[in-house]
Amino acid sequence: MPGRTPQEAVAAFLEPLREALKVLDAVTNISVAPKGGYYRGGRYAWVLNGSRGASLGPAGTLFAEMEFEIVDCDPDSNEFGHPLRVSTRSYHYKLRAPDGSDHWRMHWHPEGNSPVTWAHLHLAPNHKRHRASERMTFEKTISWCAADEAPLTCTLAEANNRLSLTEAPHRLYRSWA
Amino acid sequence: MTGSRAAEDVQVTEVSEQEAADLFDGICQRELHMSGSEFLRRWDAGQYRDSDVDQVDGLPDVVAAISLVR
Repeated sequence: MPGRTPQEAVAAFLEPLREALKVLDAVTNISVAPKGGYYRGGRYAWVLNGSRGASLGPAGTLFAEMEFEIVDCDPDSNEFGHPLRVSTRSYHYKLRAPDGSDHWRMHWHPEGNSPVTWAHLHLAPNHKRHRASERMTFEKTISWCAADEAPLTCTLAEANNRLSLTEAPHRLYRSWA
Repeated sequence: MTGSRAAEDVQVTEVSEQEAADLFDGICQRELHMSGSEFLRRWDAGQYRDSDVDQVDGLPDVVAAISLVR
């Protein structure tokens, strides 16, 4: 979602994620580091529930981190006429099972020295293998957690419906298919 | 579904620079069993320059979190 100012663009970006987390019956918090202030071209990160992750009962613990950058957008391309938006630069989501093993990892890290620059999954039991995926939204990640029996505040069908609704603005304004 | 407790209290928290450093430290401890400052020292020294980030368990999480502090 676009914004008039860097601060507003970040808030508009994070609000749907906050809304999506409400389907989980868990204590959740998104920590974001402004590092002295948001500005166009600045790179930032948010982390779910500090370093301890979100405890999801029998599903395990969800760890989530995302890097993002504040970028220009064409005011004529959005209904609000706003000039800034947030663009994801990398994400790392993983569900750690209660036994300490990683059930799955969702990665996209197009920069750096990994030859794998496309979005991919690492699935148990072979976490070294890369399985190509679409760019996974955080809503999709929560949906996976729900399918893995994370405690919910509503039915699974309602959760997936709400996640589709919170994901919709992101799909509308993102620059990737 | 439990339906026992609506998670209406999801918060977005802007952390201070010290809190971000503590957060980064916690992620480094969790994933690589070293402090955040030790990781950054090794990172700056180029120790991970030739490492495929995906081939070292926990390294992707830590690398992504660098943007918390830099």
